[in-house]
Amino acid sequence: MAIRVTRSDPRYALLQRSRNLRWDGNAADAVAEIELCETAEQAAEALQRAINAGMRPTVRSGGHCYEDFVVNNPGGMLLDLSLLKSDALPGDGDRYRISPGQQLGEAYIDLYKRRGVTIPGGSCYNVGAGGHITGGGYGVLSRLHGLTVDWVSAMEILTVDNKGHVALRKIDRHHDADLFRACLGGGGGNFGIVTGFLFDRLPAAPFEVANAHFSFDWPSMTEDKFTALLLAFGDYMAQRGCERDTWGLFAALGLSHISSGRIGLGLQFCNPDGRCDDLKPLDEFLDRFEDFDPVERRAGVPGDQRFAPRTPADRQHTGRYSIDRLLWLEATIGDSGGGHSGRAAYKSSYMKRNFTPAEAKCIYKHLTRMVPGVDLRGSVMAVDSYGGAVNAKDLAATTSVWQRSSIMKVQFQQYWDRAEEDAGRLQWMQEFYTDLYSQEVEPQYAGTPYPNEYYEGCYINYPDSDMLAYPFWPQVYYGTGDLYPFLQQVKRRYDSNNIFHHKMSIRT
Amino acid sequence: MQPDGRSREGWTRREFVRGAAGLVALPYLASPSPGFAYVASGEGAIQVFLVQGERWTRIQRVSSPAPACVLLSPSQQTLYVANEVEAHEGLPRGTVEAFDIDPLDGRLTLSSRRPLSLSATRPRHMALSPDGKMLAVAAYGGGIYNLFPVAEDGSLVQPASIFKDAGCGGDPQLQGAAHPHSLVFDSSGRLLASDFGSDRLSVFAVEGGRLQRLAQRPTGRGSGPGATVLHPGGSLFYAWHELESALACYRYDAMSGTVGETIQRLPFPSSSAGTLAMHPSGRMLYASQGVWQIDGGSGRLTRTEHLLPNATQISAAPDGGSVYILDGGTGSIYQLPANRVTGELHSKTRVALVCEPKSIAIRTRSG
Repeated sequence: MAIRVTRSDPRYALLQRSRNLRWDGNAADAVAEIELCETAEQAAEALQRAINAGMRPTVRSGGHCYEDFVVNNPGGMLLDLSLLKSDALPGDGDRYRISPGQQLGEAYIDLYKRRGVTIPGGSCYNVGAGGHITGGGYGVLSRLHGLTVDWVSAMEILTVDNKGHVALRKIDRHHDADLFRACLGGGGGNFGIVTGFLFDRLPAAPFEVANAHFSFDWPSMTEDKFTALLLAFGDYMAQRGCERDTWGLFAALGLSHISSGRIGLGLQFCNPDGRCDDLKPLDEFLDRFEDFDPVERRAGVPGDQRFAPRTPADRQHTGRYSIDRLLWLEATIGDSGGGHSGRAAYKSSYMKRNFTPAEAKCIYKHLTRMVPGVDLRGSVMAVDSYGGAVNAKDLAATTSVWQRSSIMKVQFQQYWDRAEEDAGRLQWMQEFYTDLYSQEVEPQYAGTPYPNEYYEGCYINYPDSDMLAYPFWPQVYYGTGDLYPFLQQVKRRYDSNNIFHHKMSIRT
Repeated sequence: MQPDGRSREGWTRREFVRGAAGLVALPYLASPSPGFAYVASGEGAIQVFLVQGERWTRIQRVSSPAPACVLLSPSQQTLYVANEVEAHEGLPRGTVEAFDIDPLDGRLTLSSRRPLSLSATRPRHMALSPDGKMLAVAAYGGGIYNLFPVAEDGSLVQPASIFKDAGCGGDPQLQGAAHPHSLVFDSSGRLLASDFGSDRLSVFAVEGGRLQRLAQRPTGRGSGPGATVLHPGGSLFYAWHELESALACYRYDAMSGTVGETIQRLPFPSSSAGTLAMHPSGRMLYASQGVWQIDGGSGRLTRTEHLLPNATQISAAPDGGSVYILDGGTGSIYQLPANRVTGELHSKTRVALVCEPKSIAIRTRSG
């Protein structure tokens, strides 16, 4: 039996909460009970009980869902998989197993210490593997090794048949291959409850990486200079960044609001062999920013804690900058974020080409716009490097991540604490996003990075329910090809009763 | 179109649209025993009629998204409407509306439109608990039941209970998932439901404001149970099986809340949607397939010779004096005088023409 936590249990007060405190508040909307499942069998039993009782199940692994998909489920059951952390099970053989309740940091440590391998997953230590991988599993090593779903060989998943009976399926390219593909990036909470990810092989973890952090002065940034900065970053990604020797570079341009004072640039680099012997590609990248007076710093990018401040094991100079050379695990584990609870909002886009001047001017306009009574510190448009190994075109057909042509991935983030700030911050963010994605899209899709020659829509692991205002939101997340119809077909076949649903789940 | 709303055959769409535009007002206040009829129309509106005997006068048209079912509160001061929509404000869910009814002129004023729970799409049917304090809604599309508490003023806020059902039936094309179809409360406050999608009847208890399933009763693979009625005596439950095309009578044990033996099963040649209504006397059952006399002892049905027009919905007036038939094909609404004691019907009169009539509720003036 899973551990049941009901409203009368002292643990309920904490366990029913979301990390995003925007979703807390109305007790009438909270789940009726939480089932902490330590095994797949416990999860199956709890799920069957939910169905028999007419309770809607929602699922949580690490609890980092950006949207209100999980904890507000009136009268329902939350299946919490955070204790489902099996490293290996009998029958796994030489395969690597990652369980949905494992935090990414735990998975990195475990894979590294046991096998010297890793997954190219996210940078936040305590994000749970379950939701992260089913949504694609993108991270710092993705340009070098692709997405995490590109490496998954099999999954174990609880599904509910059309009679309402729970079954544990072992799926791969030969068994329920359609469901398997759908779970490789289609997004969590759609088809069932994944209880295990299996990998036949994984890439070797890098031996070491070079980390560096810079910032640029905001107040002295003119519109022209800002535009040039963005175009310099984007140009590298569109040109030089496509060459294989640069794929070990992950860079994030943290375009904060001017009220924060600085614009951040963080990066991690290693050569394709996982070492840092040749830093020439990194030098070339950094050369692009000389004219913008970068200041080296040891602290993280504002609003983005993916790069932990630490004493370097080996600081070496490259060009005019000093670079921290760190052993890979040391660089990856630490205060790498994801544990904070507060109020937050997110949006995203995939970019297929460099910024246009019009886009850059639009971004400048909103990041320098002061809204009376609204504190916009903690607001970041994080422009991440993308592409490289991710853009192997054939993977679009074998996974459910169709975005295989982008060079940058943008994550709009805001963090704050007080509910009174919600309205002003959200309005600013929405206006910014809507204005920006009205520059280079057809008028009927204005306000969204609708797939075209500039954009590849949004990332389903950065769900944004504001997009539901657009009837074409599925195409924004899943493209205009045959992926969404395919996912709908899988949904009809494996979850005909729509047991698993949330605001942005696959609709049939 | 005649000003009193009565018609002869041959009305055109243009005619009744024109008629709707020329709403008339207030000649009824001096008329004897008027009532009001509220008709859900497929054109996205509730049509309100003043009813004076067989003279119906359209007095109001209120916009309402895809109204599928209308239901009066026991006090007759509130009209509830189930909106058979796929989405509301971008989310997959239907809605239910509450309209205040003006006690004098019968006109409607929207007081609230509440979303159903997530994924509770395309609600088609509702039922009010005997004490009028709970409104149950069957979301056909999402396979979900919602139970709303009714406030003193008749308004609704949000569901107090959500029951997400699962199941399938014998027809993979039509019955791939649970599709709650019809609801009725028994006198003790238990909720009986038919599920077209999963070929079963369910009985729910309402305990502490929450739905809890007490029993399930299969109706036969591929039967597709739809419309249902509960005999006023409380021990007989009739269901129209749409896919099987059969009228079935079940024993219902109100004490235990279980649907028992099949007393009678009357097959018909071709499958179709159907509707049922019970005369308040409990002596006559009206169905799309005819008028049936009910044996008071056994509950068995005997067909009468009375023929009904095509009916997509039938409703019997609470006082037993009339039966109303909605013909969705032609838009006609017929009124048939009924014997208050026996439920026997007399010849029909077409009293109104409404675009795609779906559901009707009759408010007596005394209410």
